Amino acid sequence: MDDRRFDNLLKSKAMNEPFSVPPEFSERIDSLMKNLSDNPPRLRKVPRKIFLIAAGFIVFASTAVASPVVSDMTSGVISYFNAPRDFKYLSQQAIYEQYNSQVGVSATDQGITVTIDNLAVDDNYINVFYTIKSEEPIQLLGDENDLKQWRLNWTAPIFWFKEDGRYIEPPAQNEVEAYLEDAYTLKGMQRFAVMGTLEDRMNLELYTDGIFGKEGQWHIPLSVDKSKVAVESLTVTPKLKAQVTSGWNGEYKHDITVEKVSISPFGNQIVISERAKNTFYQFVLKDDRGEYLTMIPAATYGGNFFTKATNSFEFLGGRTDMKELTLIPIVTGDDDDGLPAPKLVTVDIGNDPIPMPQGELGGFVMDKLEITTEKAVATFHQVGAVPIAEPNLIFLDEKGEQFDFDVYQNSYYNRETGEITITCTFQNATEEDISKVKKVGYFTRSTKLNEKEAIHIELSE
Amino acid sequence: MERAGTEGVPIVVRNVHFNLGFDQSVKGRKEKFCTFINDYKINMFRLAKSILRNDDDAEDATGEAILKAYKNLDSLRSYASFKPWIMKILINEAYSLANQRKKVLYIEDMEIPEEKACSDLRELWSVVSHLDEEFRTITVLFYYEDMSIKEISKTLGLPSGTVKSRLARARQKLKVLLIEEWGHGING
Repeated sequence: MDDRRFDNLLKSKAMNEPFSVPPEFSERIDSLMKNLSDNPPRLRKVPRKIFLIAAGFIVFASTAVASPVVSDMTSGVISYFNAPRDFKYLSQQAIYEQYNSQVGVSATDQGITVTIDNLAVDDNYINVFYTIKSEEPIQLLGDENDLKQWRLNWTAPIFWFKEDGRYIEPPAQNEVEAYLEDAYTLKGMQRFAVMGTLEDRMNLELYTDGIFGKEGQWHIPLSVDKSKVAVESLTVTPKLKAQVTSGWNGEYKHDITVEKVSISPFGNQIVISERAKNTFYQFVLKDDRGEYLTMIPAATYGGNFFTKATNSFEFLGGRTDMKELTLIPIVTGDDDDGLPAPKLVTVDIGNDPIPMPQGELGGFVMDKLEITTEKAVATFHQVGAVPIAEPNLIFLDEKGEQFDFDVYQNSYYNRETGEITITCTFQNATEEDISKVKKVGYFTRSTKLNEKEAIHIELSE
Repeated sequence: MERAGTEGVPIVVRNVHFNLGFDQSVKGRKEKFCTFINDYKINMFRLAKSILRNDDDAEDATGEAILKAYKNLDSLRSYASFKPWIMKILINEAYSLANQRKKVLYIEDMEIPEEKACSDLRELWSVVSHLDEEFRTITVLFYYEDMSIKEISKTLGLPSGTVKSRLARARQKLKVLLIEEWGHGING
């Protein structure tokens, strides 16, 4: 047996071998974690003296913008898009530039100045385009092994928002993208899903308490008018209650509330709340023409019996003239549920398009695959009903064996066309390795629709 | 990531990294940390046990490593590197505990109850336990944790070449031990 087969055999055995831990080990570790302080200590403490000086700046910054700037959503150029680079949201540049406001308001603290360049707000998303200038060179989070773009995105701050002084509940996943204009200047964009509703005219405050590892206060109050873009949207808040099940054997019950469905220029979302630890996300959406809509995977919050968790799910293909949207639970599960094991399917590359069914109900079609020594870029579109998951790609040699090089996978969903782009950046792959890539693999797993529990959502109030 | 393959043989999808984000908010930091610990606590215990050979000490080392990791959360610069980061802290804790208690047992010192030894010998874990300490940790990281040479090198603070050569020697020893346990099939 050669080393690779031996290693695979042992890894496979190791993965499946039961390992016993002492009784109540998990409970004791859980208890230890519960007792951790809510504020993990930070290494970079700001000396009190500096903090007091900084406080003066806070007052100054706040005073300087005490009269909110009125931001109307009109057409205008967004400087963020000037950089000659691949930008995830480039496909949406036109719509952002159709509805945005030039802002140009700044706040300074800790030697870091945040300037809000443009703001684009509709019923579903607050999009902020900003520039941050630091007195010190910007240190990227992550390490040299991480993808540069991931490090940039992690380094960019996350802004929180208040509407007329009321905290806007954030979604589980904030989308942030950034690049360095120079060593001291970061330009960024944040796309924030609004899970509730916003007034057309409101005071919107942007704030954050940490930038580049420094604690401080950056608050920017603005007055926003989104009435021009609101007319292009369809938003309903049905507060529709329903009981649905998930798990292969229907073992998980969920009492959910459909809080909001909204179709707007910057994206579409359905917002669902429930009081449960395991969030309900196993569903598909079907429009009033019988088309299954592509869902974009994102993180979700979990709640419990006492705490309601509200989650936003973005989907493509919505129309403002839609009369009804149908949510259908899709039944799949985990390995523990008695669900038939997923199957690895391998296909030869070079004959695009390649259908990649994920189950009996639908899947993806890989329209194009381009491979270089640095990365592979594959484009897909969805066909039929698919659980919320992005296409997966496993690179294999002629014999169906995997490679040792690292793969960093990124996905992007084009909101205009529905095209899904998966970019796999290789690390430590040699030209010889890449020349041996002859197949790709993907997984299929049994799924079925639970039509009995379908929820019909009227899209008119 | 583990998935099952066409013939029911588990397939391990190797070396694929997804952007799990780098949450800087106070609330998010604790939640995310605890989520990751939940995912790795058994792995941590197993690795600690491979060094300390004792449930109580392995649990102590795991607990201490969690506290130390949380205290030094700022030194984690990317959740993509969480596993090597936490395992490195754990290994340091385990060796520190072993030094304090002088409980690093070598194979010739280890007592395996006869009856238990017989029933367990079919398990890979039992065979791994028969390796010398210098090979044991590498073996656990490579086979059980499915870590790459580069990740093991970072975790143990050893040059990649040293990791490769130790792994090669561990592999040879495992082959010898497993032929005794599982038969000659693995050498075919």
